[in-house]
Formats: sequence, C-alpha cells, structure tokens
Amino acid sequence: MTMLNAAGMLAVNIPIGQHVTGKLFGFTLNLDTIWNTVVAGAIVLGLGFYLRSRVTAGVPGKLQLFWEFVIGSVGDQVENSLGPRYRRAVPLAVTLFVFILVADWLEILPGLFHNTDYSPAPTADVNLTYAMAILVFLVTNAEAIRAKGFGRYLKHFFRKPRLLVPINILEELLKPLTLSLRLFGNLFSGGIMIALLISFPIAFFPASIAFTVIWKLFDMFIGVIQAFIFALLTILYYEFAIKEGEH
Amino acid sequence: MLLASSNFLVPNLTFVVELAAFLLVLGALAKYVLPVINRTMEQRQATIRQALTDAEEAKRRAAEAEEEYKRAISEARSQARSVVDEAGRLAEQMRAEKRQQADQEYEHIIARARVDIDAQMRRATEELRQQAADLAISVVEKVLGEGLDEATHRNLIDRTITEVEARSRPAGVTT
Repeated sequence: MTMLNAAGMLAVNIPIGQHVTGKLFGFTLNLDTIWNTVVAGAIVLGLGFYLRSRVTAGVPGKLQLFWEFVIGSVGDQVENSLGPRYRRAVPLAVTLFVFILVADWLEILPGLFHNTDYSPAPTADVNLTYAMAILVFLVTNAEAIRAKGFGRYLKHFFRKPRLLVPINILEELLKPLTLSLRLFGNLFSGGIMIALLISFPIAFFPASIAFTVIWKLFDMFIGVIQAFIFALLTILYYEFAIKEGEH
Repeated sequence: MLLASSNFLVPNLTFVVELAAFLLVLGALAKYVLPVINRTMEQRQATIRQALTDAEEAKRRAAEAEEEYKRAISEARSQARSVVDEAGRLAEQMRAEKRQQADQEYEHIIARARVDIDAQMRRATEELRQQAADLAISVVEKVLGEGLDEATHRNLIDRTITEVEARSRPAGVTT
C-alpha cells in the first residue's frame, strides 16, 4: 500500500496497483481487471456482431462507418508499409485498436469494486498490456522467421558491427516492454489523476466534479491516442520484422 | 472481496486470462466480423467502380451522339448549300438560254421585217415606176395630142425611167 501525499496538507490515500484479487491454484487473479476485460471484450464483440447482423453494402450507418474507417485506415497502413501480402496483419491491428480503445474508455464509467469513482481500465493493468505486447512480439518474430528463414533471422542480430550485438538483441526484447508500459503508464496515470481529483476535500466539491469531467474527457482523448499508437507500432514492428536485412 | 496490492509492474496469473480473453476477441473478430465488413466494403467499392464506369460509358455515348448530331447537321448544311448552288447555277443557265433565245428571236424578227420592208419597197418602187410611166405617157399624150401610140412608146418610156433611176441611185445598190 502506498501512501501518497498529494498536495501537502491534503493528505489523501490513493491506492496504487491495488486490485480486487482472487486465488486460483495458489496464483493471484486481479478480478477487477478480468471483469473489466470481459466488459470491454463484450462491448467489442457486441459492436462487431451487431454490425455483422445489419451490415450493408449500401449506405452505411454510423457504427459501420466507424468499423470501416478503422479497417480501411489499418488496411491502407498495412498495404503501404508491408504490401498486400501481409493483409493478414490487419485483423490483429484492428482488434488491438478497437479493444484498447474500448478498454481505455471504460475509465469514464463509474467503478463497481473498491473504487466507485471510475472503472480502472484493464489497460491500466500490466497483465493485459504485457499479454498484448508479448503476442505482438511473438507474431512479429514468427513473421520475421517466416519471411527470412531462421538462419537469416538469427544472423540479423549478429550483424556487424559486433559491438552492437547486445544492443540489437536488447532492442528486440525491449520492444514489447516499451509497447506495454507506454499504454499501461498512460492509462494508469489517468486513473491516478481521477482518484486525485475525486479526493479533493468536500469544500472543493464543485471544482472536483468539473475537473473530473474535464479530465475524463481528456482521458478519452488519451485513450484514442494510445490505442492508435499501439496499433501503429504493431504494424511498424511487423514492417521491421519482415524488411530488416533487406536494406 | 479480497483487496490486495503488489508491485504493479509484475504480472500474475491474470496475464494468462487476459491473453486468452484477447485471443478470443481477436479470433471472433477475425473469423466472423472483419471478413464480412471487408466483403461489404469491397462490394461497395465494386458498386461505385461500376457506377463510375457506367457514368463514363454514358458520357462517352453522349459525346458520340453529339458528334453524330453535329456531323448530320453539317452534312445537311452542306447538302442544302449544294442544292442552293445547283439551283443558282440552273437559274443562271436558264437565264442565259432565255436571253440567247430572245436574241435569236429578235434577230429573226428583224430579219423578217427587213425582208418585208424590202419587198414593200420593191413593190412601191414598181408601183411608182408604173405610175410615173403612166403619168409620163399621159403628159406626152397631152403635149403631142392624140397621136402617141402607147404600145410603140412604152419601151422608150421604160428605158427612160430606168436611166433616170440609175442616175438618181448610187451605184451597186439594188432594191
């Protein structure tokens, strides 16, 4: 438990990294994260399957426009940087963007568990961001091996100058770490900001409400940016993976 | 409800659940949703492309029709012009023919009139000569009395008149 002395005399207690947990086979599960992940996943799948039931080749509705915009943008990005052969990267990038976006935006909803002021976004828990980043790491490295063959893939790390070999390896290993921690940090700090604003003394109640609303709106903007960055970096890592060594 | 806090950078078993949840969402979207949306997007693009092609075709046809129309108009114009030209030429020809005809007729009439005049002049001359002869005989009869034999002197008188005529007329002209 961390005690945070937020603003001098305003001694507030903001929980950091605190989760509602359960145990399974002796291992800890963050139940709030899992629950919010389920909610986010249900929303994404709900939007997807709802659209699927009423998709039209005629004039699209707003929901369809949203999906088509995402798929079209990601598709263009993939085709421009990877080429049409790698259209199989599109579903991963699209899912990452939409899922992260919805997960980020959960933060504007009131929470269900220990924190009733906001639902901690599942992306504010490293378990989800690590999971997604490691998936991206595995997929991109698998694509690299598939594109170059295992020998050339390995040789890529041991290219000259030899002095930089550890750096090359480190760079590859750090990609998922930065990818996940960037998202986590942004959303996590967003949650802390809300907690901080909510914890204003009762005398500042109107200001607290106003700032919280403003911050939540700004947080939604951050959510879009972070979802976009995650998806874009996924495509870029893809590009590095299949093109490195060609030049 | 168990509230617990640990190093927030260290993952726990939640990681596996999250990975599974994300893979589930990814799989469902990739298998059931995205292909459908992709297909409709392609269909719409195909529709738009078709519409554009149709529009292009219609435009081309319209341009062709206009070209054809212009060609027909100009053809009709040139035909009309050639008809007018032909008519003008014919009119000119007819006018020339008429004029020629008129000229011929004029010459003809003149010639006939001249013949008439000649004939009449000749007759008049003949008559004059006759009368002059008669007059001369009657004058001579009056001068010489009753003794002049007309049959005897007719020759003389005629000769005299002819001489007079020949003297009074320029040489080479005979009427």
